[in-house]
Amino acid sequence: MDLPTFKEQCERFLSVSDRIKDGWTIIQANSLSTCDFYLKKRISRILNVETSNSNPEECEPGNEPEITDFEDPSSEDTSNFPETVTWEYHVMFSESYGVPVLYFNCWKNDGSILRYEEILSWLHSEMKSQLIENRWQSITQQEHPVLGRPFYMLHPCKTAEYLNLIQKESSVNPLVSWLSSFGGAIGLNIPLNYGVSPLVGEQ
Amino acid sequence: MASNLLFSPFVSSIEPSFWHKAAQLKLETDMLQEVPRSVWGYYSSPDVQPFSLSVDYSAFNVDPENESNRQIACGVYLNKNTIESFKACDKKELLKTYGEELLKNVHSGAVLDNPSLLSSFFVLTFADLKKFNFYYWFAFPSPALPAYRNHGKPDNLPEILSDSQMRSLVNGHSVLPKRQRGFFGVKVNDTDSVEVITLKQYLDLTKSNEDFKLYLGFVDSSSYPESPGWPLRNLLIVIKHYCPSLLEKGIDVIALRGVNIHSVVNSLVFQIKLQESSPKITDDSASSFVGWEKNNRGKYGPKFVDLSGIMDPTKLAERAVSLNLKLMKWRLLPSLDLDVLKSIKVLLLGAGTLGCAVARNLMAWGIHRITFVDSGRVSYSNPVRQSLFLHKHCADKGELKAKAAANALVEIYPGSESEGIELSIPMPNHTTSDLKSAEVLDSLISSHDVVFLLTDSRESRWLPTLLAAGKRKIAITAALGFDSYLVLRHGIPLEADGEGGAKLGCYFCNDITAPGNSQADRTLDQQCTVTRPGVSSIAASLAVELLVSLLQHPLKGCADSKEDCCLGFVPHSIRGFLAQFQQMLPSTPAFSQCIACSPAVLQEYRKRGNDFLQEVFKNSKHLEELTGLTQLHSKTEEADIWEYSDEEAAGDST
Ligand SMILES: [Zn+2]
Repeated sequence: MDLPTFKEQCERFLSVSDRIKDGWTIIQANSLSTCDFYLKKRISRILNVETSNSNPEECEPGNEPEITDFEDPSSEDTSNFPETVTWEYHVMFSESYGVPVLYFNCWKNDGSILRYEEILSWLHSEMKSQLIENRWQSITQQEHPVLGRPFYMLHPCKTAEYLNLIQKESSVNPLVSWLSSFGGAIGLNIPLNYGVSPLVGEQ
Repeated sequence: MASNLLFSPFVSSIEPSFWHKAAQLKLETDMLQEVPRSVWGYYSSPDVQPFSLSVDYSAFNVDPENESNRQIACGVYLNKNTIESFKACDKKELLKTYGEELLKNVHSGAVLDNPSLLSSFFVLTFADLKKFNFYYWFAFPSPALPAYRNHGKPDNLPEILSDSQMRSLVNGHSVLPKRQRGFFGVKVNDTDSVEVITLKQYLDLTKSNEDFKLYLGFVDSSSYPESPGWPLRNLLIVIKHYCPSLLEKGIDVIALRGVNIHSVVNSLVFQIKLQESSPKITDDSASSFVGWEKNNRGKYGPKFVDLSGIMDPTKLAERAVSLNLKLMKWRLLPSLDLDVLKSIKVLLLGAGTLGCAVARNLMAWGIHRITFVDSGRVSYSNPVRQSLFLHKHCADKGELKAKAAANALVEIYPGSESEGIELSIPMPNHTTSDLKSAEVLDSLISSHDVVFLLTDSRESRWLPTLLAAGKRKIAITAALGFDSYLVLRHGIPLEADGEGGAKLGCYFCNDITAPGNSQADRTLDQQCTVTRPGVSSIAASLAVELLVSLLQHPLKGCADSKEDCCLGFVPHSIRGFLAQFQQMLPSTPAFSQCIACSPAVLQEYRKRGNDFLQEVFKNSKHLEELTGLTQLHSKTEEADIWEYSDEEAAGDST
């Protein structure tokens, strides 16, 4: 796959997303670098696994006495509302592998990123473990090529192989087939609407 | 049935990129100044993320990001330089300051031109950038009073508006100017359509005598069925100021809980009145303010987050290196034991060409506890061959190799636990050998798991071989000829008593002469001979790979040379010849009369210790008498072949 093909597939993907309000956007930076073009989607999810980092002893600097006279009879108690985690997915293009690559990140409200083990345990609580085991073998955390901050990445070493297999089935956007196959392991659901060929989809 | 109206507070949500940007600003721009900065925050209807008011890297930009489904909130970022000033600043006073600012904007009419000023917030922070720890406390200031009540349960929007009216609501809202979308008015024109108007237009229309239905509107952050989100609280302050009578009568408010045609149906319509019992406030300046966020324990107090995991370069390197190795395990070698590598302590005798190359290969395998022993200094010929040294290390007689090499490891990888020890290894027949150095070496070998013998003379390998054999430590020798190399692991007896002897030989087992002073016998030419440059890196790589394979074997150093581990074969020795580009893997058994590893020698050292060493340092013939070699005496050529040096003089490391 080359970059123009990738971009064209992204545009097709986006037109479906816009129609069904699936929340994807295209991020295009001004720079000429190839990876400055990518699809992005953000989802907020309930955090339902134990995570570290929220050590209550450390929540306060030193032993500052808590302030009690801020009580407000007109405010609702939202402490029972579960903590949410924001997931962000980026579909980028890898020049060296000539295939699309999935980057993702998930963070809590305090800005800390979920650890590898925490993400895995969330995924395990959500879906079939077989799928996860296979795909998660190729997940690494490294610097995002555009943002320069740590992101998780589904390594593209198996993608070319997969794309070759599905290329024959030309009516379906290869990006869609790949995303629905690989994205599932990291909690990314691709609705069936994407799966139909563009011709049928327009009618 | 009326009930008290409760507002659902915002929940602060910080993206990692906000902290990255804040850290950068502190380090590059603000430094020690405590300057309040204007920041942008965003909130949205609960179909995106309920209650949340989020900040990201763009918070510090001049203009807010233009994302259609997010509403803009105007905030202030207050970073304190010390934890003390973070703690000491008067939180009540701060809340009052920004609360009064909000009221000023209401009274001046500024909020009518820019309603996003109503979603005001500030965040007090302290950034400990040494530990990458952040303390922070958000506040969403609002006057504590008045109190309101719900007139009955709120209605669902589809009960109030028809489908086509809702559609025109969504469309009308989406074409409002960006900063007018958070707070607006809805005017019902007919049964099919509504008109979405600005807050200012709404206030004007409330004074009109025409007959039409009018709603106040806001994008709600709450997902609770009976309590609207925080944005409404300050919006009602505007109403109280501009048309207080509406609040006496009851005001209809659309809480927009979805901004597209699918989610808009989740919206609610509240009917809100002032609480009769609520104390009448006539003077706003006397009112007190609320809005500090509660922490994770449900108390009014700051929150804390440790971001060293994503910000500390040392940790980033650590994780990247270990992930690299884990990938090898996950993809290719599921049974690879990486933990054994992580914990192992390695002693390198010699910090020359071989020592540098061995250390680099060890690091690549995630082995980071490395000690160098060398007495030499870095000289001008070294850096091109010895990969841990630079030209600058040669100045002023040169830095000590052991120290320079240890420092280089930390520079390459901050997670290294490396040490450099200046020591010349005591040698048989060398009168300069001292017992104190022997004791240091003895304890060094005891405190490490693996010894690499990377010096450039045969004699210098004798004591380390004996000590490693006595302590049952893994010992690996690498020796170089001009275009040949030898990598050999010393056998370790399976039985701990040492009486049984090793199955595989040591470096000296094939070599039946006692180590003399080979350097004294050499011509200067021989001492100056250099090796083909590739030889040392090949030998060093093989030595490390041999160690790694050996560590994967369940028997570790005791493994037989015929056996396999998950990485393959664990040969006894590897001999290579660059002229032919050939390599052999000979395996030689331990020699019962070996001058370095035989039971007789080990026993003698255990019994007589320093006395024995003293004797050998004076005259190595004692070793031959001890092992009964005298009669066997026959000269082997090999001893000299393997002892070429890279050094410009008879140095102590190859
Ligand atoms: Zn031996």
